[in-house]
Amino acid sequence: MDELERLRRLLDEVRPTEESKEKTLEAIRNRAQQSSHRQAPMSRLMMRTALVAAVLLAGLIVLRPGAAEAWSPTPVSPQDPTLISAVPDECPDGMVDADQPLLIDQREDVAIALLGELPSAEGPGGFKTCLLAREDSAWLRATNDDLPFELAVTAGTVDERALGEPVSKVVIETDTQLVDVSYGNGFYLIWWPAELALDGEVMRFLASDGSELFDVPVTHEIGTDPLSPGNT
Amino acid sequence: MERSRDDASAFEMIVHRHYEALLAYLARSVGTQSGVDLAQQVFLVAFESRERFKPTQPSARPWLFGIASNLLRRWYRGEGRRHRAYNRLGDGERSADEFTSEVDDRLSAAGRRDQIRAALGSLPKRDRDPFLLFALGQLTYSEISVALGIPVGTVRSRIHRAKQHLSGLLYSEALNAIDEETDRLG
Repeated sequence: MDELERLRRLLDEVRPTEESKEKTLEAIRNRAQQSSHRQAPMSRLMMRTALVAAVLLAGLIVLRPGAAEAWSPTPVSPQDPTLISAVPDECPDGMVDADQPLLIDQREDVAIALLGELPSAEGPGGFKTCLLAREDSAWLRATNDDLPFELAVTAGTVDERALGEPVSKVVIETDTQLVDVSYGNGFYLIWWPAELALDGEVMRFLASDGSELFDVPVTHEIGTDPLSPGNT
Repeated sequence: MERSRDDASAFEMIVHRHYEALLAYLARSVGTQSGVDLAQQVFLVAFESRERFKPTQPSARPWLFGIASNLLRRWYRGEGRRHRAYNRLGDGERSADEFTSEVDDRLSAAGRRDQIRAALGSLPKRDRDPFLLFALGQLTYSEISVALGIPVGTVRSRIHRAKQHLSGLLYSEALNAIDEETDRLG
């Protein structure tokens, strides 16, 4: 018996497999019933159409003159790009579990954190990427053992729930698509559907007057990006 | 899985096929009760997001274990908070009974399991996910690669690092305890 087999044997307890499976099946049946009551399922074509429409609508909202006027980045103290190891709990739709390493870059007067590709509850291939920009001076920092969400609670700066409230304060454009922006307690959370596949593209951050602040390349390769010299 | 997009009842086949392995993985990781709860959550999340499953994937197994890893990570976060809160509350003096009970717990099989789980939970998050999938979920490297969306080489190095980390904790000690118990039980 090898070590791993011994480990599994130690951790094995009596499991009510059949009984709990039945309960799970029951829960799924209930969920299916609820869904069918709520609405008929959309076809994939309709879903795609809805997605495109949502993206276009988001674009119109973001590009609407004056929509970005509230954006006023506060200067941050200059420092080298730094890696921290975690981010607030979830992206706005609650599907992404984001405790992957974060790349932080500070250019001009805005701090930007760029996340790597995130394994998500949507499963393989269903990735989303989040990018956070914070407008005040202090970035939350975290070690592997301290999650920023908890640190944030301590500091009283981030409310997980608030991240889901969309506020169009930052104009972001890539070569191909516009993405969505959420705002909560000093953080801008920028996210996009996996289908947009933005890897390798450049995000351009614009000030409210339309002038260019800076570009941030979107990369999923943590450790190879120039913004992450501290990453090992 | 593809059929379940239009026919929800077809999803039940997925449950029948993968439930036992998933429950084994989760129960080993966090104990039976939490494992049962998490297993149900995995399938509910999978059911809700079945539209997103890529039909090109040969099996739903890595996808489901990927969801399980996400939920486990969240569970560990909650446990970490509870543990820290408990430590803050537990600074007072303990009674002799409490002390005896704690010693008994540590000597029991359940106590050993808890110790092992605590050691696994103390692994750096990045290494813990692939290690648990490998050691407790019995996934192959390539399945873990798909489940976590990381290259196979990274899977390998993270598992290696986790093993090194654990050997410095109570991994070996616990394994010896299993041997002792196996010998004792004949």
